[in-house]
Amino acid sequence: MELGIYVHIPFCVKKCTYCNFYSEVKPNLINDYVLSLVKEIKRESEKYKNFQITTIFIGGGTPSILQAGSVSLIVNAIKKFYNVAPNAEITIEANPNSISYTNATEWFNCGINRVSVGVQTTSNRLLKLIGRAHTFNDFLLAINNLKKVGFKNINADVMIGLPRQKQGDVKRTLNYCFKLGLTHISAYTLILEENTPLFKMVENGEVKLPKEEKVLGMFNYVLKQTKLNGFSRYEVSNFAKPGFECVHNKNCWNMVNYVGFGCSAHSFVENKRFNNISNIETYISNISKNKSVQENVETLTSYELIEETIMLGLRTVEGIDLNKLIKNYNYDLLKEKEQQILELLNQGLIKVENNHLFATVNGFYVLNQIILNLVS
Amino acid sequence: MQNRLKHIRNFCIVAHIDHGKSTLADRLIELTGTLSKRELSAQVLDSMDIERERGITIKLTPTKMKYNFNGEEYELNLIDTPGHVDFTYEVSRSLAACEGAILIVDATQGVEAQTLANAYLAIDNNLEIVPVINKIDLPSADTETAKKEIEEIIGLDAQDAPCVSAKDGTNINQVLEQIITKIPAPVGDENAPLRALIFDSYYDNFKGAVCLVRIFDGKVKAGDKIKFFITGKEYDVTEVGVFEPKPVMQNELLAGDVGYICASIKNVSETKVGDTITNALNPTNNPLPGYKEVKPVVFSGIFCVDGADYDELKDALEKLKLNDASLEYEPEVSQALGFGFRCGFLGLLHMEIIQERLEREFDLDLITTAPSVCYKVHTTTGETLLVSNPADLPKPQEIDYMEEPITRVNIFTPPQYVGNLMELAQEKRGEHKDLQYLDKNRCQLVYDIPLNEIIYDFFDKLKSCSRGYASLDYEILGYKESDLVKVDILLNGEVCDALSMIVHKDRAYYKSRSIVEKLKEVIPRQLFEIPIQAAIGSKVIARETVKALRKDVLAKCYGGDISRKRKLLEKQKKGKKRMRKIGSVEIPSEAFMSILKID
Repeated sequence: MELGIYVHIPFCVKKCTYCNFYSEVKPNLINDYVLSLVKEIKRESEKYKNFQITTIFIGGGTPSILQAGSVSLIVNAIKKFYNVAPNAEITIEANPNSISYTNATEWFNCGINRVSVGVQTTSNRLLKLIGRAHTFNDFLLAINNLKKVGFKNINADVMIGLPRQKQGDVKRTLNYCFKLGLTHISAYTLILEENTPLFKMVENGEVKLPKEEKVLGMFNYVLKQTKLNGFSRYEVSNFAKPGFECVHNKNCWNMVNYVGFGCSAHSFVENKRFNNISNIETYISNISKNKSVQENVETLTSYELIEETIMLGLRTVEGIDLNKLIKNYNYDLLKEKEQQILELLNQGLIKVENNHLFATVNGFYVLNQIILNLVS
Repeated sequence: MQNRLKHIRNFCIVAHIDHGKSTLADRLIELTGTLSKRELSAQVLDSMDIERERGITIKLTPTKMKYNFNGEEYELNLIDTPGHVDFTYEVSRSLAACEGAILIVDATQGVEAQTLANAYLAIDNNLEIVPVINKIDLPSADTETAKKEIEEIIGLDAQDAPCVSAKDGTNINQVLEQIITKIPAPVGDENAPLRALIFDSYYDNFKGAVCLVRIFDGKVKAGDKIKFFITGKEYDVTEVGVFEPKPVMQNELLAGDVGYICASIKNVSETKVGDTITNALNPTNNPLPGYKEVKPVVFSGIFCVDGADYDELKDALEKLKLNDASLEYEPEVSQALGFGFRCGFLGLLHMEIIQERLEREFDLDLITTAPSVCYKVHTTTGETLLVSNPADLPKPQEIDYMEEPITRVNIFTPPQYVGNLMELAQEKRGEHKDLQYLDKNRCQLVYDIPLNEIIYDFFDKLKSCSRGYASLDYEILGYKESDLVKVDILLNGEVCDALSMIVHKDRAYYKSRSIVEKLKEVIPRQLFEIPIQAAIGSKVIARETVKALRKDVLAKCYGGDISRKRKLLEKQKKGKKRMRKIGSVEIPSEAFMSILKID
């Protein structure tokens, strides 16, 4: 059976003002953490003997800030204790300021074949505003290093809807991505999360987010430009040159099993969802005492599986495989939600073709509402 | 025998809200040894939570107490009365069961609107009034001014009024002595045919409806056949007794007594407050005077947030009705809100109490529609209809004219707020009747105001524009012709019946504006644009638009954290479940409630 592995590196040089994902600025814990991680990878391997690993994703946080040798240690541990497919996609997330030639070489040599770069924007003014640790120049150097080492599959994360962002900023950012020959672009619209410094800044009126109309305009621009430059949209926020879709994320939308290692990593294995505890110190201490680090284990009921199939499937351009729903769960969506589906069709938000129900371009903008209509 | 009556005193306590009625009752019960302090956990007479929280009594509970005075034992029957204007009729029947009333005045506040209203009610019932000044323990107590106000405003001699602190028990014995020396003993002939006044009733699971009575003539015992004058029904008495304050069975009740009668009566609506009970075999020809049919004056639709709870709501109303004959309800179907009930209440407080009890005691999530009054609609065909539900109003062309209930409103206030209050009354279409400066600290304002202006937020407004100092009392005067219109609210072109309302023509525009604005705030954006319109007939008088939802999508699922997305979905699903659908528009339940707060 197919299995993806996610490895979480919960460390950052500094926290970005919009981020509420789990990561800490505690450099003195990094080495202990990596050792614990390797222990966890080893100790869990028994359970996954019958799986073939097709993707590995090292995410964060900022995995690229690990000391020399750490990434290899992690990847080699996985290769040693798991049945990793020879052509497996192995991704590392990296910030431009930590993609040195040395790092890039190490990653490449241990088998990493895809790098996801947290560019966000090429405007130094905006980078500073959202608390990113890198500059435009760091980005140029980083891509240069990656290419020199031999990486062919490079993604840039870009953000749409940043405070004070204008369409011109988006235009420049995209143009650099195209010019530098990147193969994948993730364009995320900013979600203002509570309990983040940015949330407070917006509340206090220190900064203003662009109006919804503006954000939509910028995103439409992304849709247009990526298409013109040979990228296809294959998911809500993801665009790739042919053959460069991120397999790891695609599998996630298609409900392929994946297991997460490290603090706060999430897993989905044989209809069970669970996650690891999200406190670094407790994680390290539990691993050293050979205690479990998992929590929130829930086995999805068949209706929950149906809901998730719909919810996740709709994120992709292929949409929901209606036959698969019938085959796997004996659930005929067209019949069960006839009324809602007709309404959504009339509103031009979805289409049904070749036994697939998928969102239209307009539908992608209000995907939560479509999902809501199809599951409640 | 005359000697027996000489040692009975039947009295009640009347006061403005919060002047200490229940606390004084507690002290009397304690001092006479009827209950010990421990038994008397706080205010025993207020048994319902809501009442206790608000410090007001609604249900009357009589108590028989014994007190030795000058070597003789007296039987003191305290009949507690509800202090709120909604229950004026019930108060008046309780007063009719007594020979005297203790009038409590708060030494820190003096005479208030309800002090006056209740004092007059007692005087109308020919009761001997014993003024008592309470709360002398408070530093701001001013007993002389309170006494002066009683004399000047009400016209009672208050020179030897006991000055007490019901809270710490000071001078309570003086109150007991004055009850005996000032309030007359009851008169009555125990050999005459039975005449018993029902002043309240409650439902007991084992005994059925229990009548609380004052025996004016004759006697009654278990086994007697009794007859109710108004309903004409006959029953066999199964038990009689008195309250100490728990029910205690007696062999018989005699003229002058206050107690209860059980007769396997199935329903409290058969025991009408004010009705006279007589002996079926030896009946009197003279029922006691003063019976009135109590009619609800405020109406509102009650629906469940979750339509599936309808049966529970029905059961709950049935249960409340067992104990509250004045609650009226009938099934109502609203296009917007589904199945529910149209309920009639004695007043706003009564409405709030019922709604709160439904939510609290029966654990129901309710949607209530804007309160309405009962209009008289004269049609072009010469008919007169009573309409309390805007949905039932005939078409404009079929209406000749309409009348609405008018109230006489009495406001007591310190003089500095008179300006604010007059403005408020004007705004509410009030007609100025009188303004009197009673003394340097107090004015009395009298206005005639349509009831439908009072039932929204008049009380809150009154309090806020007088910093809480003004007090209010109102009574319904009758009906008056008025230029009323029905305003419908249309969502995406469809009338939402539950939001329709009847308002005065001059206020229609202003009110419609505020409602469509409020709805714009509370109706979430949906996949299409939603026009919100207020219309009189086919004429739109206000409009707002809820713009279509353009963007609602989760950009990213961090590190495969699907549970976070699920949680969001569950939250949205829950919200959707609480939505009501009008055509294709989804409206949150809160939207219906939010417009209740609109002026």
